[in-house]
Amino acid sequence: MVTVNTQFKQAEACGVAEYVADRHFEGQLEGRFYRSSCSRGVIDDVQLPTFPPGYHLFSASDVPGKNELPIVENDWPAFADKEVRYIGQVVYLLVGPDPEVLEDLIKQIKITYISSTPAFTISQSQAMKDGPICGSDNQFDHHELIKGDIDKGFAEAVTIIEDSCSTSYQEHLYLETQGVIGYPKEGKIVIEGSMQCPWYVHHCMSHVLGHDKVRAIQCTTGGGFGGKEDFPDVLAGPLAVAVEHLQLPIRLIFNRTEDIAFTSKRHPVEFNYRTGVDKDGKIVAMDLKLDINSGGYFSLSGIVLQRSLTTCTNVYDIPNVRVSGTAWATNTVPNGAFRGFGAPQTCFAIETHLSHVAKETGQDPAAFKQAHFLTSQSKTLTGAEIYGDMVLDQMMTRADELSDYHEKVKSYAAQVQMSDDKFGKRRGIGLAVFQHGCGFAGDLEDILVKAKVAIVKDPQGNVEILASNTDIGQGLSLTFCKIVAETLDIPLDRVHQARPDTDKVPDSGPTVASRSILIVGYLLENAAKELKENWIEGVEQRFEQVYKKPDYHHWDQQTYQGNAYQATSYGINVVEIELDLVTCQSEILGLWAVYDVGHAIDALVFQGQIDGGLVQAIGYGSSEKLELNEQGTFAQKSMADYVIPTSLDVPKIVSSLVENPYEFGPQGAKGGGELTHNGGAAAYVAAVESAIGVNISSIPVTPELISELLYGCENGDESGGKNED
Amino acid sequence: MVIAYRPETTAQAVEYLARGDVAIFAGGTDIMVGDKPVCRSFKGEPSAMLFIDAIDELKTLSDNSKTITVGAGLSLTELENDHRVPKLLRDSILQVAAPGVRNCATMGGNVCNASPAADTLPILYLLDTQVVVSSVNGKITFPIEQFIKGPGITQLTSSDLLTQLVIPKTEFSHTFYRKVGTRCANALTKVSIVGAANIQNGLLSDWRVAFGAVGPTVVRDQQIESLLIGKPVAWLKQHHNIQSIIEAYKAKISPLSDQRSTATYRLRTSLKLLEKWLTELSDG
Repeated sequence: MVTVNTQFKQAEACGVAEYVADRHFEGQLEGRFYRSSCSRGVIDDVQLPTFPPGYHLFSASDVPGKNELPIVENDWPAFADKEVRYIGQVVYLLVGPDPEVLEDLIKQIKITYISSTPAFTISQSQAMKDGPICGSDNQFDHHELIKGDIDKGFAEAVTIIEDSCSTSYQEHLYLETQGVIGYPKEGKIVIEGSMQCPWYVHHCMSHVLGHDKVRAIQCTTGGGFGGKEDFPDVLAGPLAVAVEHLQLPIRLIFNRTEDIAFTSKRHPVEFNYRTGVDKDGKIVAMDLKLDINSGGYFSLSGIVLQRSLTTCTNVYDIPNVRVSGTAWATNTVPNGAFRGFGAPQTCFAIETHLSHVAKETGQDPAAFKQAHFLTSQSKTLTGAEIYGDMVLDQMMTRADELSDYHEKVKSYAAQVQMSDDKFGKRRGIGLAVFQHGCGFAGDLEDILVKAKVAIVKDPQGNVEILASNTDIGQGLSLTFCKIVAETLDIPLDRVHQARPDTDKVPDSGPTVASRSILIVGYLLENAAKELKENWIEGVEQRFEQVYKKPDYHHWDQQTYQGNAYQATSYGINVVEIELDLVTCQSEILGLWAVYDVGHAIDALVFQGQIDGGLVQAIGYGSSEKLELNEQGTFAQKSMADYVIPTSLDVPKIVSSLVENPYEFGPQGAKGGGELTHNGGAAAYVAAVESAIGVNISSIPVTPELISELLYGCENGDESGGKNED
Repeated sequence: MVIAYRPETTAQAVEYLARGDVAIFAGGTDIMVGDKPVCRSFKGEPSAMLFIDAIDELKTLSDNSKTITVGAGLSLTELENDHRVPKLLRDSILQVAAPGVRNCATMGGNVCNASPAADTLPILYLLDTQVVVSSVNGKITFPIEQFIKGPGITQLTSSDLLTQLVIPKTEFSHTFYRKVGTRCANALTKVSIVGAANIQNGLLSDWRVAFGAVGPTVVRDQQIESLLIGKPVAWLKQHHNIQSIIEAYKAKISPLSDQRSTATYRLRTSLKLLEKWLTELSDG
């Protein structure tokens, strides 16, 4: 059997693939957004310039259906009507042939606002100056989850440790910026674009236009990382209105500055822990409060909050837990989906906190964590039996074998004191254990998504996959084809995936939440099995599959009890660094990773996920600084300011997979793409802590932060260090 | 439509410039950055572009016993590959952006862009580089610290063309160069420092240091340098002597906080690097 598809990504690699910016239609117009310059206010007065012939302006009053983007809740308007909640919110869409004329018109539009005091941070949101931004208390969502008896737990504790951790924004920085092109065709409004979820765009157009004569098609997409889950709706809603009105093709493509400034980001989260440890050094109680900064509209914050709550104890069996989580409204760009969806924040916080607890109680962090691992006999935080085997101990052994973690911990603990060699370098090693729930939260796969796929065999015996899941650079199309080809036992080049086009493919759900392989791949495997059993030479055959949850899976959305996810994948990352005591820059000496993803269908494709996900996580933990300025917009505006690691910043990643097949995944596979982002930041921070012997509680850990931690207490007096004689 | 000139001689080029409202395009790596081409010497759009890539005179490198003369149109890669170019300068070039950018970017462009964070500028200051500017009125030579007046601001008028850099040949027994960037490759500078010294018979016969990205222009102070020159190396063994040098520079360095780093970090790190270098020197 052929296992290498030489055509895979050939077009992208050779530069002949058509991205949305390469699409061209006769008479195509350009679109530009006019955006709010006020972070919180009500539109008071508007002065519009005279538009030359052929130039048009679209606003809330032009929306034929509902002026809402249907992202979970319908609170985010397609066009701001009266109220604005953040700088950059779309007020108008301008359309015309010459982009320079559009830019000039934008400059001539004058809106005055009656502004009120904006809230950018969680504490500002809580203060509710000038009243709430939304509801009565600025809370988009709130939920509490309890396991065991928290009071009884704390009564058994001999040590109680309070600790707080926080995470900042992260920018997706996909290579291709956001862009869509819309045009009328055969009575429908069609939007093509760079997107993860064509059916989301389809539903959005239909909601805004008030009819279902719409169609969404994915163009070749240059990366998403979650940034193209909900956000294409922000472009597609207004664009659909303009295309329907003018009946002409219109293109709307963000430049990089616009993309960094106004698209969704990873949610910043603040964690406050109170953890009780008993006389044997075991955790008996954990009380956790987590607060999420959602931005101006609800968007996906509720689901991020749910994942944060249900996975807040990570891979640990803690008997008594109370966790209370709130998603707060603020006056910034709404935060959205980003690889891991709440889990990288939660994993960083719990791993860092547990290291602090271990050190405080005189224990080795890795051994302390291992002593609390969930086992096959454990119950999860949400009270479910563990399904399948837990192989964390085996993974820990493997991680230690690869990285020599325990030996290095000992040797680095014995390094010379900084005062003895203030111009030298110090080494550190850190480890993080993590998990990722695959697929939509709870039983949403069953009650909401109900994924549907089809495979079609033509008379020549070639097989086409019909699914709405998109290849956004992660290699999904190859993996899907392999699942089907291997099940059918036919050569790989006889299987291909149809372009995700809502006119052609059933709604197999969005390309998010590590559900593509686990949920949709399994449906494809079952469809292929059905075809194999019923294969008839020389005729066209079609087989469909619809999602049905496994019998063991139970979930109660009210009480948050049951299987928080259908399946869970696991990982361990180890990071070794060398820190320059003069510049506080760190060099990464080693990166090791061990995963349980059930089974990797294509180990090389998964290696790509490991390399990308782990490096992205290292960037999240070390260099990717995205700060709000006083106006509530981001200080970092370009790829030169927002610093993601390059291949020169990381060594070759050494990784290993533990086989642990999952019964309800294709070939035993579980999800893996998001998982690879969950542990890197925590492991990096642990390595820095190990090098400098100081606790860290927020990311990113930049050289500036390390310098403050090491030398900030020198009273700003550069002439006399604390170690001077 | 913008008029494009592509002369083959400096004489022709300065004639075009004398007509006014002409923007010089060398490698284009700064002009082409951003959503729209931006030219520092023009607020609006110039009516003509002067492409200087066809002028061979700007692409020559020559040397004599005392100096090396670098054509402004030589690319950073060409300088990096020429062993007549001082090693300190070549070391700094290797840390500029990525190979593709270095292949296009010119030495003259790097100087005229006059960014406080430019990687080559501290080296040029340290080496007492002279800048040769041509116009229809003839040639003028400036010491580089007089040529650059502020961020993006130089002595260049709209009718001038930077044609050459003249770098004195100076041998140093000890050098020190560190760029603190945002990452390993393709990184803009947060702080940089270059130092050079000659130690003869236990005396510091020459000692210089220059800092990048810690003020509106490169910081080099020959008055402070003169406090060290002529002193025995052993003078540095006294920690308070090193501290007095650091204190002197502390008063000269005025970094900003921006989206890439903080003023505190820049100040602290540049002084720590200086201390590290002085301590290294004290060990001979």
